[in-house]
Amino acid sequence: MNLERRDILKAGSALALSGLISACATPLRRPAGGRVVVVGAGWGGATAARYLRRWAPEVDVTVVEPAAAFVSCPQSNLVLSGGRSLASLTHPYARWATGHGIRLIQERVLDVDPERRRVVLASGAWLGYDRLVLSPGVDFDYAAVPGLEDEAAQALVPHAWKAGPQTAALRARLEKMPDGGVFVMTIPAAPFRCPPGPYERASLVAAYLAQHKPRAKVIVLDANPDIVSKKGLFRTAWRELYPNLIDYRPSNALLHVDANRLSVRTEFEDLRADVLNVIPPQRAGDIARRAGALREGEPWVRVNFLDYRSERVDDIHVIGDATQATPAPKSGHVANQQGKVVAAALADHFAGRDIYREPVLSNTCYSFVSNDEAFNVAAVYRVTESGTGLRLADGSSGVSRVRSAEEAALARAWATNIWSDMLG
Amino acid sequence: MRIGGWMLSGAAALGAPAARASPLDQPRVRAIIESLFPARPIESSDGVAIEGPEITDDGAHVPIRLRVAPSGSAPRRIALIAAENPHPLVATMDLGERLVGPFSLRLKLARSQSVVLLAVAGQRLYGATAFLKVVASGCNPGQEATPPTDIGATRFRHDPPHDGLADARLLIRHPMRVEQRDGADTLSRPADHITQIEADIEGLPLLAMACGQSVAADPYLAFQLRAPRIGETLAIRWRDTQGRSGDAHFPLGI
Repeated sequence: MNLERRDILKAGSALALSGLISACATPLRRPAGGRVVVVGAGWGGATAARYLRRWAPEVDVTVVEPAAAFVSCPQSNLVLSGGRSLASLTHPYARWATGHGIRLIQERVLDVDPERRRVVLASGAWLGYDRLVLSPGVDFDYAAVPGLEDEAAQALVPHAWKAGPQTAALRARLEKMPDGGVFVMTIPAAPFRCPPGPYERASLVAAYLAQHKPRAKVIVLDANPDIVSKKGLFRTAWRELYPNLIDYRPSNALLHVDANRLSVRTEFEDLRADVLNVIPPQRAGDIARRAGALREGEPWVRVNFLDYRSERVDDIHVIGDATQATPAPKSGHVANQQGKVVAAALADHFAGRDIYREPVLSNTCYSFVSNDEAFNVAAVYRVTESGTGLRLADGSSGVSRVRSAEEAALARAWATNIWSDMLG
Repeated sequence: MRIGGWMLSGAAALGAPAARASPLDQPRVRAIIESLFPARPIESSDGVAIEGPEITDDGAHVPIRLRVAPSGSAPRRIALIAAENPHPLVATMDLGERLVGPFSLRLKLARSQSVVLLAVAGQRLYGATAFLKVVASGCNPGQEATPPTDIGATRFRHDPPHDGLADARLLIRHPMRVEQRDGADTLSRPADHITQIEADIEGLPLLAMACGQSVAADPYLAFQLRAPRIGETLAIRWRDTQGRSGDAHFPLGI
């Protein structure tokens, strides 16, 4: 790909973009190493792009991402408790892309045409690809939350389940909440992004309230019959650190939200909140459906875990939270690992080599229960015989014995290292 | 809350020449049906069907809805069978006149498999099947977990009635732990689950439900209640395999 196009793309003029991309996507300009388009520069996509450039420098890599900067979901609950700034979670993409020879297009993807192997951008321009990597994360299924179907209502009830302005909005509401007020959060039925995340959030909101509004309360309405991840560690922390502050109510699915009154109706009770945080039910980012990668009626994408190719659409690979990867959790760490596996598989593909048949994934999820203490769950996953599933490697899974300050330091180091791995 | 991607697989599945053999022909399913409803032919009806999500991640918690409204008489007894679970009979329910479907409940599935619904109405036996997919098995005994401190806590709520029928929900906190076996013969830890739930309104039976270990944790039943009136009381009683039991009373009417 020539420099001229790269410069113009960086200028970001939609009109110029439209004409030039279309013109360049002719066979005349096709690079020798193959063209890969990566949609989404989160934990999966950013890792895949960077490692593909490292392992196959001859491959032309274009990343399409609407945001100018990465904002980490992991550790964003610490913004609520004052343990981290949003700025410390934010990493601009521009220098990263230039440094690794990645073409970055700051735009939204509207559609995918798998027949012609094209990605259609919001500007109307399109990009041709030989292989497409979708790392779209999750979309919220607000249609499943009566009362929050429209955006005006959603704006009144922050989810803060994608880090950034939503995180700041929830923190601002906490600051304005009266002492003696009630923070109500709702948790959807599993699976959702970051299984321990809601319980970490309850802990860190309690940490903030204990310090600033000691008469306030946290009520957790969980659609699940119990804490989904690290149950014993969370229960102990709540009992010892925040006695009588967190009121956990399992098997209590949300039925309706009144966004103006900040009231919720569950299957068994009505509640009014001073601050309301609804974590909506989730499904694969919608571009996966538009690309034809989803089975009818299924929320997550089925892939072959050797190279993450979609079971349904040729030349499309899907990674990260959007995949049906149970028992592996929808975590940033797992998406990072999947990004490397797909990068290696694509590097092999373009070099005409066989792909590696035994990729192994690891996962680590740290959870903070205060600004100073954390614990972790870690596990290793292998690909099943058929390639279409993951399984827990024998004896690989475990959680911390106790919460500790040492693990809080390790958790911060983990974040620094893995951000550097994907975006350094 | 709506769950994305529900499918409906009902009467049509019975007669259709499907790729899978009908679960009704499996010997262990036939034996259960014969013991519950001896010597009755199984008919299909548009009003009898199982609805469930296309796929469920965690087989320990599979939400389903049972439509039990054949034309003619109202059903008085229904049974639910998970053909390939270690203990396939999920539950039977005897239905009082004021208890009306559809019924929503949550079950455990050891693997993707066919589920069978049977409903007796008048002198006839209706059946429906659905194939439900799960990713992770719901019948793993798992770690030794502390049972909830509020075991047996009972919740009930009904909405205002429409056309004489009120949506109602019942939940009893209970881990519903499956048994653990070392090899085929040695029971290393017995099951711990509710065996019986009974409900009546002012002494008139509303529901008698017999539960196996294939009912999900925190047994849940959503149904419609005919004409709840102020002044009436709903009484719930339950007992489990460990000898625990309890009762709870809820005033009706809004």
